Amino acid sequence: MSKAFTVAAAIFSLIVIILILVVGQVSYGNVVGPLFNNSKKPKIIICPENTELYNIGNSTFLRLNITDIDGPDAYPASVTMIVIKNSTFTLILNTEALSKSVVNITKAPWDLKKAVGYNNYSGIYLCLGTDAVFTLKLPVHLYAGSYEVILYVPALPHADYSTTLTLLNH
Amino acid sequence: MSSKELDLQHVETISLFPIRFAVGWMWLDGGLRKALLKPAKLDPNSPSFVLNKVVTFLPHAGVFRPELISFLENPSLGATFLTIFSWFEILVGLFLIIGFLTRLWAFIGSAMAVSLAPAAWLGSTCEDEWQIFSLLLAGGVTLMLAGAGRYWGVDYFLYKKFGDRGIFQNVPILKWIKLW
Repeated sequence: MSKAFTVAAAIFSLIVIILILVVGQVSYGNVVGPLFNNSKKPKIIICPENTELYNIGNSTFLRLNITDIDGPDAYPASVTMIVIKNSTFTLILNTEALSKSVVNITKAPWDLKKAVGYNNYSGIYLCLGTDAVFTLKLPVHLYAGSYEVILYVPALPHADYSTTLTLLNH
Repeated sequence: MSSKELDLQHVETISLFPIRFAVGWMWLDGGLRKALLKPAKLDPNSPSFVLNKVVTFLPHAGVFRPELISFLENPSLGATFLTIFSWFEILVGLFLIIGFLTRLWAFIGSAMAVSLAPAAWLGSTCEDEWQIFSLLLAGGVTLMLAGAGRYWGVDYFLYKKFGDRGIFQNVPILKWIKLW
């Protein structure tokens, strides 16, 4: 075996070892820990820039910009319940109410077909990695004030994501 | 070389065939599924379009994210890339299995394995994508260094006909990289 071959084999072996370990550590922490798996549990992020509560006439709308940054790639993340509340008022939207409330969906430019939507069983849903703005016409009129909006996503352990929005009178 | 040494060498080199077949079939299967068995996977207008899958890579793709988004925002560019990639999968797989220019195709396969790194974080029940990436890379580099083992492959006949030779005989580094 020539010396050049031995050196080349050592260099490429080192590259393989480094790539496997670095990618494993970055992806799962499986070299020095802590162990994690971002692909297990859905994580919905509410993007504040395009999220708001607003009134048009006697109707209240919730514009909700969400993205799914963690979880399985095989099936979408569902938001099966949204609670909008303040100190004196609570509105609960279950899957059927969510499905009836959606009046518009704006998908990300890179969105895939069928990745974002709504139905009576899942509420609103979106696939891993995508980003969408859902506009919901709420079944009740809300008055000006500050409201907490909580999104419930089926997961173990329990997952919910919230933001506080201020409704202004237009 | 004594017959004992020769036997040992045969055992060592013939042992590479399972690796050649396994790595080759992984690539060949990936390419066949997209390019031939279900061409809709390469059609931007189809719900089966494989680029759709790339969306799921995005959240933890790190430095690869801008490139992935540019593909997703230009589906025709993405389709072209995927079509070329799929045919390379077929070629890499086929030539590793039949042992034709094994070192070259194993090198190309290794580079393609590295391109799977942005998806390595996916695997809801185990470390699926990272394991695929790791074994394809290690298998590819092993074959790139060792060649086809000069058994059960076209390279054996090329070796018999043309002898042991580098890619270019007069170029310093390339002359050490054997063709077969």
